[in-house]
Amino acid sequence: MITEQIKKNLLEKLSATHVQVVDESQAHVGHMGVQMGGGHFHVTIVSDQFSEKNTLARQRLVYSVLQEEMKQAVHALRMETYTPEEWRRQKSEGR
Amino acid sequence: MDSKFKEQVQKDIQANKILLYIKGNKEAPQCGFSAQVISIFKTLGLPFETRDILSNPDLRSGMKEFSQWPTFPQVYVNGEFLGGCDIVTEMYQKGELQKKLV
Repeated sequence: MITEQIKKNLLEKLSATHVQVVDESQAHVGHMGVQMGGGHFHVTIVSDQFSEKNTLARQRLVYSVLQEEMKQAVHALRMETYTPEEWRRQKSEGR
Repeated sequence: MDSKFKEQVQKDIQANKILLYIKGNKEAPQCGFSAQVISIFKTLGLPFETRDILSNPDLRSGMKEFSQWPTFPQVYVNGEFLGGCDIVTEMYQKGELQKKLV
């Protein structure tokens, strides 16, 4: 499963402490990207490696470890990236 | 990516304050994410240009390499790559995008 592969990569290569991958392809059926075989995924990643990086740098980092997946299996990636500290705050705010 | 392509893109992003590399065009975006960035810039009410990467496969592969970014839309403001739909939406919601355009 592609979601498992994405998750495994993120956990291993980003030393992520939390990863959630949701396949949202169903919401985009009929959309050209889906017809071409690429899925839409929503990933939530918590990793120390995001420290002192802005959103652009964080997303570049995520793309860099998913290069193979981005070529074929993934058409679009919605990303939420947190450091462990930001993740704790996020959760305590109950959002 | 040859140097001529690189040069052309450099020129284009310098000549256009807001330049969006998207799927489709302003009137008929072919992807929800492209549509979303268009609607943000339309709301801001500033002139912007778009380039359709679906009708130009060389531009599509070239821009992935130029921006070091694998997806579209790709948003350039003042010649600077800002990111894709997620980032630009976040910047808009925080008012950071508006600051770049003053």
